[in-house]
Parts: sequence; C-alpha cells; structure tokens
Amino acid sequence: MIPFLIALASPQYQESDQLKTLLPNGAVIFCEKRESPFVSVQLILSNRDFPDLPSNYGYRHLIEHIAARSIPGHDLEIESSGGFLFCSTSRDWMRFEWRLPPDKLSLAYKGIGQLLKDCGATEDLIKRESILVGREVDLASTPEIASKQAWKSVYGAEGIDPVGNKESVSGAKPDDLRGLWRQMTRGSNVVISACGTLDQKLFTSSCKDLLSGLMTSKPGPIATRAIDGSFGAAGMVGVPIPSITTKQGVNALVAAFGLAGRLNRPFITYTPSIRSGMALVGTTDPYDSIKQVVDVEDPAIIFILGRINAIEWVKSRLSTPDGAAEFNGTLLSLSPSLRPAKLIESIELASYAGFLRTWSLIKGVAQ
Amino acid sequence: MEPHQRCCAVIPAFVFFTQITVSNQVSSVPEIREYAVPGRDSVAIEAVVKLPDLNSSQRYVLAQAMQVAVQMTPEFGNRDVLHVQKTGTRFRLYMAADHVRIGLTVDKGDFGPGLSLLHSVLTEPSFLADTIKARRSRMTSPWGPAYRGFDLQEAELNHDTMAALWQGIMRPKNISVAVAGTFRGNAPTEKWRSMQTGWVYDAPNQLPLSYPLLAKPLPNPLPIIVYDSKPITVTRASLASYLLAANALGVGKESVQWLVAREAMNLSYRQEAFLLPTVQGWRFRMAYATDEAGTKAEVLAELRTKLRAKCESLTQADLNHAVGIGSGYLAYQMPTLPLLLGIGESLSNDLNDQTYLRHYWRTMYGFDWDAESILLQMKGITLPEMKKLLIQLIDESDVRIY
Repeated sequence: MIPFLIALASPQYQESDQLKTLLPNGAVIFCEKRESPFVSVQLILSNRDFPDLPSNYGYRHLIEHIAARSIPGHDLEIESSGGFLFCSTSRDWMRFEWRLPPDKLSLAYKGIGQLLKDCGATEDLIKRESILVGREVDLASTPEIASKQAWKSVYGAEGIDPVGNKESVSGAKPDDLRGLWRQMTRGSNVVISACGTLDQKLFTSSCKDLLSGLMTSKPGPIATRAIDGSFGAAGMVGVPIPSITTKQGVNALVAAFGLAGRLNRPFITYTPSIRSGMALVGTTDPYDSIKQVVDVEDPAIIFILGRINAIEWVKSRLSTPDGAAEFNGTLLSLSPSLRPAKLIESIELASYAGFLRTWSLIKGVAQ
Repeated sequence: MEPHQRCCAVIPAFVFFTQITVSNQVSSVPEIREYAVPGRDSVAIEAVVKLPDLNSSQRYVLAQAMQVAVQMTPEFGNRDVLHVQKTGTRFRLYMAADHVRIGLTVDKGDFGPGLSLLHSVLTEPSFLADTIKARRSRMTSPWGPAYRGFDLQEAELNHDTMAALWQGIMRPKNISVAVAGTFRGNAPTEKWRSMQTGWVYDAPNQLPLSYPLLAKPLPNPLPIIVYDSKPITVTRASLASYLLAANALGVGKESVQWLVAREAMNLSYRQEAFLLPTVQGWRFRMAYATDEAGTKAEVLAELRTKLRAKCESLTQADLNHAVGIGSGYLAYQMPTLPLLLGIGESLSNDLNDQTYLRHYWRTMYGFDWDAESILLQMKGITLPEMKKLLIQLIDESDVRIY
C-alpha cells in the first residue's frame, strides 16, 4: 500500500535525482530515481537524420512489430513477472518500453542487449506482420485519420506518416529492415531513458555495458519540412509547430494549447520535434465550435491560457515514471541538450506577437 | 504497434487512498464520500449515477443531455462553468450500461464551488433550445463497439423530453458523489449537505418513452467480432476467477487470443478479453477486430476450435503467466486491468479516474475494491480450475458482429 501512496502523492522530482550520461559513441543514458511501484526503462532509437521516404513507407513501423516479438520467451518472462513491454513508432523515433517491478530490472537489460544485436527480420515475419500492419491501419480512430490528413495537407509529401500500409510494407526485404536497423542503432541515435525505483549509478553502469559496442556516430543534418498548405475540418485544426527549440515553435505551441483550453472536451495530439511538427487540436463535443472560439474570444486571454496549459502539459508528462522516461528520453533523442526544464523556460518566455502569427493562421482555417 | 495496442482494456492499478468519511445515509440527499489523498494540488469530484432500465433511444437522449447540461445552468454561466474547473480540465461525461459518470476537477480548496456547480448541473440544467441540436459525435473509433454494453438509437431532441428524462434519472437515491484530494476532513460533506435544495422528488416514475426515431446509425467501419458470455454474477469470490480467465485469454502478447487469433490465424490486430457491464448484467467478453473474410461462419468455427484446443493445452507456466499479468495491474500499476466500465476508453492512473473506479465499485457493489485480496485469491486458483472456466466461457459464449 505504501508505494502507491508515495507514487500518487509525490509527483515532484528533483534534478539531483537525475543522471544524464553522454557516451563517447554518441549514445545517451538518462535515469531518474523516483519511488514508484514500477520502473520504466525505454530504448529510444532516433531517425532524426534519415526521415521516412515513400520508398520505405512504414518500414520502421514494421520493424517495431517484428523486433517486439523477436526474443523468444521474452514477453512470457516479462508478463509472468508482473511487467509489460510497450512499443511505439513516431515520425522521429521508435520506442521500446520495459515497465517492470523494480526487482526485475535485469529483464530490461536482457531485452535491450538482444534487441541491439538484431531486429529479427525474416521473410515469414514480414509476411505475417504486413497483414497485421494493414489491419492496424483499418483500426485508426477519427483523430488518427485526421492527423494523417493534417500532416499531408500542411507538409505535402514530407508529411508522410510512420505507420505505412499493408501494400507498402509487404514489399520490404529482411535486408532493407536490417539496413534501417543498423542506422537506428548507431551510437548517436540511441537513448536509454529510465525512471522509477533504481540506483542511478548502477543503472548507468549497466547501460554503458550494453551500449559500449555501438558504432560511434554524430548526428547528420536535420531534414526540414516546408509548409505547403493548411488543415481545418469540423471540430479540429492542424497547427504547424516549427522546431520546438525555436521561439516560433514555442509560440505556436502556446497558441495550440490556448485554443484547446477554450474548447469543450478538447483533444490535442503533439509530439515534440526539432523538425517542423504538428499539433492537431480539436473537440469531441459536437456542440462546440472552434470558429466561434477564435472569432469571439480575446486572443490575449488565449495567450495566457496557452502558456499555463503548455506548462501544465509538460508537467503532466513528467508526473508518472513512464511519462518522465518517455518525455526526457524522446527530447534527448532529438537533441542531447533538450530538457523539459528548458522547454518550460521557453514557454514562460513566449511572445504575444509570435503567438498572434499562429493565432491568425488558426483563424484562417477554423470551421 | 501503437501505444494502445499494449493489449487490453486499460484501467490501471489502484488502491491509493484512504476513505475517511462515510457520510449521510439520508435517501433524500445524494450520498457523498470523501477520499483523502495527501499532497495534491487539485480535487477530483466524481458523481456516479445509477441508471434504471433505458431503451436505446432514451440512452441516446441522455447522452446528448449530458453534453448540454454542463454548458450552463441558471446559476453558472458558460464562463463560470470553465472558471470553476481547474485550468485545462473539463467535465468528464460517460455513459455505461449501468451508470453515468459526471466528473470534474477543481483546484485545491475549490471543492465548494465545484460541488455547487455539480449540484446545479444535476438539479437545474438549462437545456436551452438553441444549444440542443442533434449532432453525431465527430469522433469514431472502429474498436468502440467492443467496449460498449448497450445500443444507441438516434431520436429527435427537444427541451421537454431532455428535461423529463434528466429529472427522472437525477434523483438523490440514484446519485453518489466522491470527493478526493487534500482537504479538511468532513468539509466537503458539510458543504454538500448545505446546498441540498432543488431536487425533484415527485417526478413521474415512468420515464418518457415517446422519442421520434431518426435514422439508424451507420454500420461500424470494421467488423468487430464479440463473444459474449451469458450474464454473470460478479462477487468478491468470482471476480478473481474471471479476471484470471481474462488475463489468460486476452491480456498480453502471450495470451491465448494473441497467439491464436493474431499470430497463428492472422485474423486480427487487436484482440482482448475483459469483463464489461451490459444492459443485461456483467458479461465476460472476447473481442476481435477483423475484416469481412474474418466474419465467415467457418472462420468463426475454426477460431473457437483453436481457442478451445489452446486452452486445453495450457500448462502451469501459462497459469503463472496469467497470475503475473494480474500482479502487474494489481500490484505494479500496469495499465492492463481487463475490466471495462463501459466508458469507451482507458482509465488512467490519475486521481480522477482512480477516484471514479474506486467510488463506482463501492457504490454499485457495496464493498471496497481490494487489490491485495483479489491477487491473493487469484494465486489460489489451480490450473484445472482455470482451464475449466476458460473452456466454459468459450463454449457457452454467443457470437455477435458489430
């Protein structure tokens, strides 16, 4: 009982409980000690310098499907111990999360060590998982479908989604996937991020052993995306968010969160990126109108609300061990110097004039 | 694999706070319970409203009425409704087969205005004519029907039918309110008791039934196969058995459904087993998202045969796996509890959802959700017992395709 109380009563963290280590080969290890019933260990593989292309549309997603089941008996061992393996793929990274009882941390080390050796791609698995990728696409919800449309409308071909489809991924060959896997597992593309009940030095030391054999690399130039259009539909708008390391990016984020703050039953989907990104903002309430909000509400109030909400969003991402490991880890996979505290500071310094530029864009597409 | 594909219904582990007050038992005033959680900067207020038997049109009208009721009341204007709630939060409105949830979050110390707002919504919603517009929800999820324990039939909306239905349901005896967070003990109870006017005790017992029906909803974009058990009785004793069965069948990447339907038959990307309140009572449900080919009678027969064979071949390692899954959500906060309350989405580990879950259980079943005790019972179940239940659930389930 006591661990639950601690976990829910103490969402705050201290910098002194965190340890970040940059390895000579470019890989990053981050961990945060926090009392919790579980520990979250995440392997994050960045593709910031080799974005998805029409020629390998959905391949990384297919790799994720295959790699997640590539270690015989691994899921059985994790799940039998009370843990779980979660996986996801975004436009900028792929993520494997071992959520485990604190005394089962060794399962994460074992899994990471095995995964970094090989993604397990075979002809048979590609065939099986291609069908499942197709079925996954069919299950997309309205916001997921809208998000794809928004990216395509705003960024054209460069807004390609990471999911792929059955047709695109069924043409993949094992060597194609292994080639991508090798790129993703070069030193500078690898981050291990953890949060929970752990010993920081011991954890870091164990991860160093796992990562020491990776090929040394430096990040290549970031591929940018050019805005090519806009997106607005009933109950939702696409808000382009420039790199989150820039003032324009933060101003746009504040506008997106300000709008969401004025909607009933709002939703906002946004993944921080140092390329141009996208926040899809909408309402699930059929009685609400984005157009009415942008036409009637005072932008100055929206700006203040947006700053508060954006900061709350960062804090909420950090409030659970799994959220903290993911948020810290994915920011570090974008840039080893990008930290949540820096993001909060930038949001506090957001400019009203910059906010108005995005607000005007939202006004133009709101329906 | 998207995050939601971690496998199953996502109500996380609990129990995290202590109930410090069991307040009034006076049936003329909705009951209120306080849950103390130290060190919180917000307060969760959750109302669980028990539902009488409703037909599918009444459910539709009630679902729309909930959306309109929280827009404004005579006491709270549109902006007041927003201001009372914690910045960035909104009413949580869900309908399940057996209850509706009306929840809100306020800043620490603001439970008074929060309770006033809730009281006003429950007793005197405006239902203004110009805000009542029959609109389809903008959001759809092909998986949605898997988690739903009732049907909806669109009907015409107007102020009178909405108000009559609302008054018929929002009676003190149907409502139980939870307040969770950091506050002086008994303060929310005193506040709640001080504002108990406006309840309609003499509303007609018969809920209005004359709803002009509108067009039937469009079919689901993707076939969802559902195997429903006969209605089951969820008690302290049976809960652990059914949860263990769900763990074995449909939670995790080593579950029977995953191995059979997804990996052996390539039939579905998403497959789950869980307990769900339905209009006819609790059911044990297995669900699969497939395509038209997957709904053919011979495929369904093959699926049932293979599930049965797999269950018959389960070993002690599989039982250990099922118990391990249980310890995941009962002891380690894994978001995999195979128990759906019909809200159509995952419950999170946050204070609001956890308060709601705990309060729902107490209100509907009269005993506390005791994770340790459930896990202990789960660990006492033998392999033959688990296999017998699994095979019974497979053999006796009825297939439905949405």
